[in-house]
Amino acid sequence: MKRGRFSMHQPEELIASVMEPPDPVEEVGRRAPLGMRAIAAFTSLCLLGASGCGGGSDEPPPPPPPATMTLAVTGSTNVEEAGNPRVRVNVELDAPARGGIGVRLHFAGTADRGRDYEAPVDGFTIPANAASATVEIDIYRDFDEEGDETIEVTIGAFTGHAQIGNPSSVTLTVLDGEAATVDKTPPDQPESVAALIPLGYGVVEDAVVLVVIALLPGDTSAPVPLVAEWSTDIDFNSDVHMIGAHEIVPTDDPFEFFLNSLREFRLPLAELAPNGNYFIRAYLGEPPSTGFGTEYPNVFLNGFATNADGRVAVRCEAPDRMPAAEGGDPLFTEQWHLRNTGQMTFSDNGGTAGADLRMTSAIDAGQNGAGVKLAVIDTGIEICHPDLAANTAAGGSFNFAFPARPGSSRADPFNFSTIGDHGTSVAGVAAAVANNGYGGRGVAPEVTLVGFNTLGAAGDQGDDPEAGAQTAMLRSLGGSDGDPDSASVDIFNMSFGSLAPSENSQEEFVRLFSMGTDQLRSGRGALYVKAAGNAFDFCDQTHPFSPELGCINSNSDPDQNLPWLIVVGGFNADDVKSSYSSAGANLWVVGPSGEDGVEGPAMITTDQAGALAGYSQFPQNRLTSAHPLNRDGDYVSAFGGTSAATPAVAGAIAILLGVNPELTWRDVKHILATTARPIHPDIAEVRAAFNGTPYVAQHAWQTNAAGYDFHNWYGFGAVDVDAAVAMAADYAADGLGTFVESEWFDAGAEAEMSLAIPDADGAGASAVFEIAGLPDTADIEAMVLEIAVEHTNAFDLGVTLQSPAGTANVVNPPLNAVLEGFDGLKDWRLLSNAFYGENPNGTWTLHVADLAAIDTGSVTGWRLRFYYGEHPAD
Amino acid sequence: MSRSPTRPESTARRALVPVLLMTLAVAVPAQAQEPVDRPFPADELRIVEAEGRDLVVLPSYAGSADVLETASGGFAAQSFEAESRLVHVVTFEGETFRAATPLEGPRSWIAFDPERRAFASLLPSIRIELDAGLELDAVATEVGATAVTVFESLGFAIFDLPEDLHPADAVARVRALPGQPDAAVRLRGPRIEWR
Repeated sequence: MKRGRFSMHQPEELIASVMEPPDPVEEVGRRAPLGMRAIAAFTSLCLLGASGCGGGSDEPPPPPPPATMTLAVTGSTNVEEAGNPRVRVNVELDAPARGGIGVRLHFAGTADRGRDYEAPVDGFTIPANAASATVEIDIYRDFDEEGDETIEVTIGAFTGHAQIGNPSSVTLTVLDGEAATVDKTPPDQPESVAALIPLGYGVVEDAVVLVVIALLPGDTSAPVPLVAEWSTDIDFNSDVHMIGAHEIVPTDDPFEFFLNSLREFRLPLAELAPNGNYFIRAYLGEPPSTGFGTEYPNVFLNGFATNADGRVAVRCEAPDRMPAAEGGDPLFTEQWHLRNTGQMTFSDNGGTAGADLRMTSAIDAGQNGAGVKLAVIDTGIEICHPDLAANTAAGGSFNFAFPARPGSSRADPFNFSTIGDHGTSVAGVAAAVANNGYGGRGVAPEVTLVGFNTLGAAGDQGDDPEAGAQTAMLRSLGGSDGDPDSASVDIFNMSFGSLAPSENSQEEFVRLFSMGTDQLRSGRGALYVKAAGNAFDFCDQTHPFSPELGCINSNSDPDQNLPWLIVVGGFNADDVKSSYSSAGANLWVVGPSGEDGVEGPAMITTDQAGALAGYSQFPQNRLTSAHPLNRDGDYVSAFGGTSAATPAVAGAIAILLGVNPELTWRDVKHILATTARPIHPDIAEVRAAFNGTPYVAQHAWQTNAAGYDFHNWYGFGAVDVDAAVAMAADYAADGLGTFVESEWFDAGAEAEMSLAIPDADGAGASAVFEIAGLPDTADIEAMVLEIAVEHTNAFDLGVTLQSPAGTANVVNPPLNAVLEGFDGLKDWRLLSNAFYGENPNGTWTLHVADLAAIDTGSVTGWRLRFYYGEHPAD
Repeated sequence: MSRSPTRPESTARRALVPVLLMTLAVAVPAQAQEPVDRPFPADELRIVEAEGRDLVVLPSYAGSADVLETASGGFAAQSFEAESRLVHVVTFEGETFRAATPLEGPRSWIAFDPERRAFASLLPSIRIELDAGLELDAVATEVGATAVTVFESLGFAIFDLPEDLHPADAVARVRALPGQPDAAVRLRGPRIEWR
């Protein structure tokens, strides 16, 4: 049964014995005498000598006693409003009903029916021979401060052969939930925030350069020191040397405040010894009182190493390592994401057996992604890492920083920073070599690996640090067949993203991804696998919705409204969404990413090689170089984020392409969606009443009309590699029909519509649009809503779409922090995968609700675009 | 560490970064300054299309106040130097917006987006469509391109511009070439973070 915003007044499940009765009030006057008439008729027949009238006795048999009706509640009469409870109130008979019994119920109490709760019927008929009937009271969660309330249910008028017993009424106590209002206090103004923001950290011929901006609170009365130091001690407890110091002078002029607080520090290499490891830090105000790896405000810390020439090490130098004598992958047994046995993975708690990629068969069968080329677009890759080197394609990687970084190599995207290389750890999740006696293994340990350090395009200092990055991104993601050769890549791993309010993908990237899926891989299409984001808990709001809907939705990444991507969220070792993983309608699947590695398992993967480099130095990383399984410090046990889930899924796709190289990009998406595991099956619908009208802000798992399960936390679910491989092995590639991008179906953008949205009201505003003329054989593969709303604060707005088949999906949840204080929705494009496989023809319903007071507005336009497969007629 | 190492610590800080890198826009009263010469044609208000939206390109050097009538009404802007920065004051539909860009370092080219009521930053490059007959060398010469990246599969090329050539001016120059090549300014996208 569909459950959704548009059917929420219906009970959770139908109860067979509950039927709408004839109006009991009218019936009482008429039907009660009817009961008497029945007795009279019985008596009359016996008076006429009919048989069966009491054994030949002249006395009529006594009428059976009427059934006694009482009321009872299933469960407690004290119910928590916060859980949106549905309470079953039962009318029970002490004997089966003789003929139908119509019962009217009265609802009273301090709670307001229609605002605080709803009962679907005022009464019902208990069918003959039934002994009970049930009404389900739907109690609305809301965020009003109203105290505990009561619902009194009483048996009222009735018809039939019955009498009222005791108890004839029940009283439910609705325990008030958390009251909440949406905080409309303007966010902190820049001048009230103290912050140290690094703008550049780089290498020139004779120095390491650090550029920062120091911001002071507006109420600062005295100059504050900005200090930069270097040390050979990562905690700066000893061997500390000054690089420079400045006094940052407070000013009331916001421009001076920003622009005159930019400072550059240079650490001359001549001060340093060859073959050393060094750390550099800058801080604003007092020196940090805590060590490395501990969050401390207004501190920048990084590191680098010098080579034998005394220059900064900017090339990957293969370390001297001895593989484990027993071979294999010594850390494999701790890699829960590959085979979860409940192991703790160096954290305080173990996970749940089976909460993993479900790839035991693939591992055993040696399905390792051989022959598939995977590009990691990231901060860099250690191409000489002991556990990556054998999979890296010689000359295939590219160093965008090469022109500007002295001593670096064109094909070596080495990251000179020594406090962790994101790209190296991402790469290991997908592509670490198996059975080589080192560390763990990647999901696809025979994939061919290349890396592009795309944000290094502008060099390390001096130039605009981002001016070349967008062009470099185009070059890295399939737009170039040389420097780098990205056009030969099969799978692009994109463990990055951006956030912006109501912003759409730029035209160049629309063209890029469209081309890449259409032309690369000899027309089969490359796979673009992208991290959903880690912004689920990234807000200051304390509204109860925030931990249920997430702070910033994954549709807030401008590029993630494109149908050519596979947007990946993360799950943890207990088969539940990783606490930080962004939710959204645009998710396709989730991959393993874990938690923090301390309270719960994170991911074990490759780290920058060496005990004095990489994330392994962080105190929260339990797999330190002191551990016998990581004595060289080449691995980390606390890697995570959707950055980690993404290469896990990219690796899974590499396995699929290894098994069946003919698969198109759409085939791969289809197989993933079809075989994914819907984890966390009992996750509840998120609903609350606003101004008395319940509003569904996030649906529970729902099965759409094409049979696909979908949830905004998980997309189609957790990737199941073995199931996907099984499907891929026999899959007839390119069988999804012609891929079609429809025209925009414009429901109002040109019509100057103005649909007022009621303020702070779950009723919202609705509009419908009839889609017609698309093929009956069209199956939606993605759909995009473009919406324009004039509003004084788009933070208030929740946007829901309902398909002609009845599937409802929240494409932008209310209280999306990226929209906080933003002025409306500006032709914002929101992608949903929830309608996968459904036919687009029919009536689509848009629902926009404003769930916070004060700010108001109206919908001024919306349109739909469908991406679908057009199947040949059977 | 368990997530991106670049994960910001607070919403406020995250919001600051792109602001600092590009522009600063706050609603405070404007200050009048003496105008200086306008060395480039682009130093007058003009409308350019980018990403399907009309943007008002702001002057790249200090100058007198300029007024432009747009579909949405009057648009007035003035840019002036103040110590280490170039300050832009925009008045649009009764609201005043201010932005500042540093005078030192890489030049910042900014525009105002009336639809979003926000400033936008232009990249120091332009995009040219690879239509038949396009002469890349002629375009490169015309704008003094420092680098040209051709994306044949995407159907366009990116021309990196010399530091002092305003992208809007470069677009105008290219469109004046024979065959009127299709050129467009490029907007700086939101800052990328590793996840």
